[in-house]
Amino acid sequence: MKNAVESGDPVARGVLLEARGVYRSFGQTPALQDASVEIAAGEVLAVMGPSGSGKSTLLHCLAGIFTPDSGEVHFDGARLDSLGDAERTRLRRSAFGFVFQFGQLVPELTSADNVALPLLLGRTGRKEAYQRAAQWLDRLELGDLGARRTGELSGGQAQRVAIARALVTRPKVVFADEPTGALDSLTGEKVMELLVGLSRQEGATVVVVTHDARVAACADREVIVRDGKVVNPYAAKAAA
Amino acid sequence: MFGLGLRLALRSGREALIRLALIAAAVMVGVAVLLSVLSEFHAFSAAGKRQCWECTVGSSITATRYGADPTAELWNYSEDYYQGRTIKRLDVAALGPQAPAIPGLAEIPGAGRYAVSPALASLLGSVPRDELGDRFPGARAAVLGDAALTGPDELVIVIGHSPAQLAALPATVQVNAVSTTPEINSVKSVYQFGFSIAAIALVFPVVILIGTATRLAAARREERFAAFRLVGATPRQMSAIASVDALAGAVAGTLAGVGLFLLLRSTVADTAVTGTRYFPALVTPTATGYLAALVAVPAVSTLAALWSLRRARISPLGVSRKVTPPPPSVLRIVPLTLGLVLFVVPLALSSSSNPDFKFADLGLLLIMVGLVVGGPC
Repeated sequence: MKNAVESGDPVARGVLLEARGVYRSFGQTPALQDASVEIAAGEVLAVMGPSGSGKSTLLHCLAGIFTPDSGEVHFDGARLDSLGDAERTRLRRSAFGFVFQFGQLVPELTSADNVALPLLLGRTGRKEAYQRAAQWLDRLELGDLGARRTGELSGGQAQRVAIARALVTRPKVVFADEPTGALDSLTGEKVMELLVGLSRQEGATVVVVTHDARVAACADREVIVRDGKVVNPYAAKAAA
Repeated sequence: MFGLGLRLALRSGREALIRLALIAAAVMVGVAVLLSVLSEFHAFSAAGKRQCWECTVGSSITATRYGADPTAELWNYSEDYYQGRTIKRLDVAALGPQAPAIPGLAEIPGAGRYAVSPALASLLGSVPRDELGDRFPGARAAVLGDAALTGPDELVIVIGHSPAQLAALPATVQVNAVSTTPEINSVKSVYQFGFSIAAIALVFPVVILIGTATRLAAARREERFAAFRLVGATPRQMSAIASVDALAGAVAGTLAGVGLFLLLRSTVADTAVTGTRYFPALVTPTATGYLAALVAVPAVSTLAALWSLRRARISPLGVSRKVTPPPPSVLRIVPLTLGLVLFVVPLALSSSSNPDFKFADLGLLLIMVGLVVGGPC
C-alpha cells in the first residue's frame, strides 16, 4: 500500500512541510537516519522522543538551519534542502518563526528591539517595525516591558517576547524547541497556550519539539523520534 | 543595523567595553603616531622647498663702489663653527639701492651692521664676546625672518660691508639675483623613505592590536550573532553589525588621537627627528594628512576587525564551525616574496649614490602583510 509520502505532490495533499528519508550526521555520529515526516498547513505537530534521539536535529533540518546529508526537505512545494544560505536565511526571516529554550533573544537589546529585529533585518521601515512590535507585545501582555532589556526579564516573560518575535512576521511555520524546558509548569502551560493559540489565530503551522507530555497535549498530532528515525510519521490526529 | 550594532557594542558588558576601549586606545596611539610622522614629514618637505639663498652663484667682480650697479651686490658666503654648531655667514656689500636681499630680510644691512637669526642672537647674548661676538664686526641691525632659515635653531648672520672692504676678501663674487630654487638634497629620498618606514612600522602593530582586541569576548558576541542569524540576518548584515564596534572604537580613537597629537605637537616640533628642529608652524600634517588619518585609520581598523573574524562562520545555532585553515599553500608566501622583491631588487640595481626607493614603501608594506598572512595565525 502506498503511503502518503510516496503519493506525489505534497501541496496537493495539503502538506506544507515535509522531510523525506533525511540523513544527518555530526562527524561519525548519526543524528537522523531515514527520517520522514509530513506536516499539514495549520497543523500543530509535537515531535517527541528521548534525549539524543534526533528530534532537535529534525526540527533544524525542517527549518533549513541544517542541510541534510541526504534525503529531501520540502516546504510549500519547493525543495528546502537544496536552497543556498541566502534563500534559507530569507525564509527564516519571513516565513519561519522560532521559539527556543535558550539563546534566541539578544539580552542586551530591549523587548521591542528583539521583536522588531526580523522586520528590521527584512528592511521594514523602523517606524512600522516598532509599531508592529508594540502591537505584538500588547497581545502578549508585555506592552509595558517594551523598553526593558530581555536579559532583565523573567523566563516566562522572555519566552513571551520570543513568541511575539516568532509571530511578528506572520510566518507560515513556527518552530519551537523545548519552549517550556526552562519554565515552571504553570508558566510553561501559559506559554504553550499563547504559542499555540496565537499561532492558530495567525494560521501558522507549529512544529514543537518536546519531551513533556503536557506540552505535546497542546498539539494536534505527535510523532516520536527514536534513534534518528520518526517511528510513527503518519500517526493519526490525537482524539479531541 | 548601525544603531543595533552600536547598542550591542555598548551594552554587552565589561568585556565589550574593554574591547571598545582597547580598540579606541590602539587607534588613538596609531593616529597620534601617524599624525606626528606626517607632520614631521610635512615640515621636512616644506623646509626642503625653502628658497635656498645659500645656493646663490655669483660672477666675477666688475665693480667695487656703491652706485656702480643699482641691482647688484658683492657676496661672500661661508660657514663658521661654534662648539660643533654650524654658523652660516654671509658677508654682503650693496653696489646700489636695489641690491637684492635674501628672504627674511627687507634689505641688506649697511656697512658696519649685521642681521642675525634669533638663535644666533640668543647665543651671542649668552657667551663671552671674545669667544664668538668678536668674529662678527658691526652692530646688530635686524633679526632674520623665518624665510631665511630652515628651523628655529639655525645660526645665520648677514654682515654688511663697504664694497671696497668686501672686494678685498677672497672668494667674494658679484651677485645680481639671489637664488630662488630649493636646495638639491641628495639624501632627500632617503629621508622620505625613512618617514615611510617609520609610519608603516609604527602603525602596523596598532592594526595587529586592533585585530587582536576584536577577538576579545568573541564567544559571547558570537552567541548574540547567532541569535541575529536565527531570525534571518544575512552574513553581510552580520559583518556590518560586527564592524560597528570596531568602527565606533576607531572613530572615538581617531578623534582622541587627533586630540593627543595636538597636545603633543609642540613636543613633536621640539624633537629634531632629522637632526634639525623645524618651525612649529610647519610641524603639522597637511589637510590631506588629517583626512587620511580620519578616513583611512577607521577604515583600516574596520577591515582589521573583519579580518580577525573571518574564520568564525556563525550559524543560527552559534559558531557552527571555525573554518579550518586550508593547508599551507605557496600562495600564502606570495605577498612576502613580492614584498622582498620590490624592496630589495630596485635598491640592488640602483647606484649607492642614488638609491631607488620607488617601490620600497610598497615592498615594506607587503612584507608586513606577508608576515601576517604567511605566519601561523
